[in-house]
Amino acid sequence: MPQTVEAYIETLKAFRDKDPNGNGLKDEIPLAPRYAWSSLHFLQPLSGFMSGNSGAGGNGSDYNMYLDGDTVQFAPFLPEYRSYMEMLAMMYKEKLIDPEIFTLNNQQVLAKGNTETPIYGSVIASAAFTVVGDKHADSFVPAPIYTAANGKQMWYTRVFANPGVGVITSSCKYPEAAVRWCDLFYQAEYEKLVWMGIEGEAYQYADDTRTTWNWILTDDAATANDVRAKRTIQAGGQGPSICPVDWFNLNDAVEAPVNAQRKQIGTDYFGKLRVAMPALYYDTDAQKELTALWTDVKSYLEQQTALFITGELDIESNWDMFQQQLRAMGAERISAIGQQAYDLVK
Amino acid sequence: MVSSGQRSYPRRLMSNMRKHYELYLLVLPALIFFIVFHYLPMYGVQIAFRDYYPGWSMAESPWVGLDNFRRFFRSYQGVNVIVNTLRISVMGLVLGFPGPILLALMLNNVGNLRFKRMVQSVTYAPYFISAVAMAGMILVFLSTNGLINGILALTGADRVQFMGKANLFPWIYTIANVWKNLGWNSIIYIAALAAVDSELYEAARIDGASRLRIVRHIDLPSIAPTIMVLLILNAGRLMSVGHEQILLLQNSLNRPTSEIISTYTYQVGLVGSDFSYSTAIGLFNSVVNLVLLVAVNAISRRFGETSLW
Repeated sequence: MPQTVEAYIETLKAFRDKDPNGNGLKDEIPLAPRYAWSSLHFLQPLSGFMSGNSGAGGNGSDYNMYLDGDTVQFAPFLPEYRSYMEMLAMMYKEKLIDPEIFTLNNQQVLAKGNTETPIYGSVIASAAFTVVGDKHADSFVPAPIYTAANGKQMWYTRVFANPGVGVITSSCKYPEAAVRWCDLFYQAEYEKLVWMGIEGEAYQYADDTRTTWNWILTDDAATANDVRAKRTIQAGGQGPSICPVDWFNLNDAVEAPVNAQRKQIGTDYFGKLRVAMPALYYDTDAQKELTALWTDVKSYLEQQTALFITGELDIESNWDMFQQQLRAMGAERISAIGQQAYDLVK
Repeated sequence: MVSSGQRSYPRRLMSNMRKHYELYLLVLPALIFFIVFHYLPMYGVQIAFRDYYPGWSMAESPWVGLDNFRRFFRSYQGVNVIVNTLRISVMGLVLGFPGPILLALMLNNVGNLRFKRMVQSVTYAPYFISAVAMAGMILVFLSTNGLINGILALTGADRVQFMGKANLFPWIYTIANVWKNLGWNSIIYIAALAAVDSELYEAARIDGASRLRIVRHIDLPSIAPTIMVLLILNAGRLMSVGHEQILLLQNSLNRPTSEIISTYTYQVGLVGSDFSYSTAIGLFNSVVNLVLLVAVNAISRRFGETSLW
């Protein structure tokens, strides 16, 4: 397993050159992002910063902001962002990333991942099986978290709580009861009820130690998805709840190895996992301004970075123009608004 | 007693309606349709001038005048999407307009009826392909391991990522649509040609006119009014390019030329939930279309006899 960024790139080159699937053809694709935009973001820590999944497919709620200490930065303005672009352009040129990344749709990515002879050397996804299917998933292991050129070491963590989904309005007759109900979210039994359903009906623990558990599959709910849809409240939606710890002890053939890997990463890199930007609340005017700015900034960003990565636009000669255009579009206001909102809660 | 010529218009209309009420009854359903589905919804256009917030009523949302329009023209995308829309639209008009006329003229000269019918069916079949299937076909044919690239590879040329080239996008879209609509659009010309009096042809043939001369002096003049009316109608649609297919073909590499007004309205309004702004853009688009339609119609009326009204 490569331990530095350089070694990582060399490994990708080996995927490209050394025919690891052994079919005599150079058909390997060293690195396959599940989604062009939101997945490439996961390479930002290699350049020593991170911003959220605000590309297509992401929710865009962090507007490409990066919390550096207590300073809110608009990521594309960082010098690290340029080295990130240069790294991606190099990887694209060296054919380390799927050359069709910006024109493929998600089904095509998955189709390529599920071919009989594996062609993906590595993937960027929440778990390998989501791209290469159960068939090849066993041969994938998580990569370590690399130290970037600026000395920083970080990786994305996922927050399993959905903020902003509960409101008590002025017309609520019994605000105390509503608060008591909200308080339930933090109680283990309620969390399990929402996420896993009723014990004995939707799920059961494997043994008396009550650590790992399984879904109870019946005729009318034959898959894990069915059980979740029919017997739990939080079936992938955004109901008011907090994810219970036990959620990650599911003893399912597909999920168990992934959960084990997640746990290992959590222990190995304690303190290095973080979010790019904590969830912030904006007042109405700030939110309006952000939305208006972001529509254009986002599409410009997607367009320009795609051109940079594919080499259609030269980074060296066009970078200043890119930065100026972003400023002209008011991108500096994004981090200013973010800073204001952050200062209120830090 | 006032003579009918001097009576006021409403009174003349009333007496006319009483006299021919059966005919007016026939028009009524269409009239109701337009009022309900085309005029009443115009009430919603006001949110283009308001800062509309879903959940509030339209009247409650604050009036902001032309702010939304100002924002569109100042935005980085504003000029961009207008130019892109016009580019695709004008290319469609220039490349797509003469084709059906030529096809109709050629088919009109085909003697073999079975062959004629077959060509007609074959050319208008693509019209019925849905936008989704059409986009799928374009993507498959033009993908790096698709048909076109396969042929290129056989000749030893490098494979090209067609859908990733911004400068190719208008061509791909336009040519695909010309192909798709060719047969369908020629039907109206074929019908117009069928209505030409056959005595004219006989007279021309007796006078020894060649086929090309017949086309030039009989066929073309007789479908000229049809051509003109269709041209006016097309000019009125110049700023409205259908968004379904473009949206399906769009990716971040071709977006510099493929982001058009209708896809931008979709992005802003439905994806970004900025309803007022996207309504303003849509309204601007419609107004330009209306102006174009009226202008082209006026020009046509001045220089020829044909016009819509």
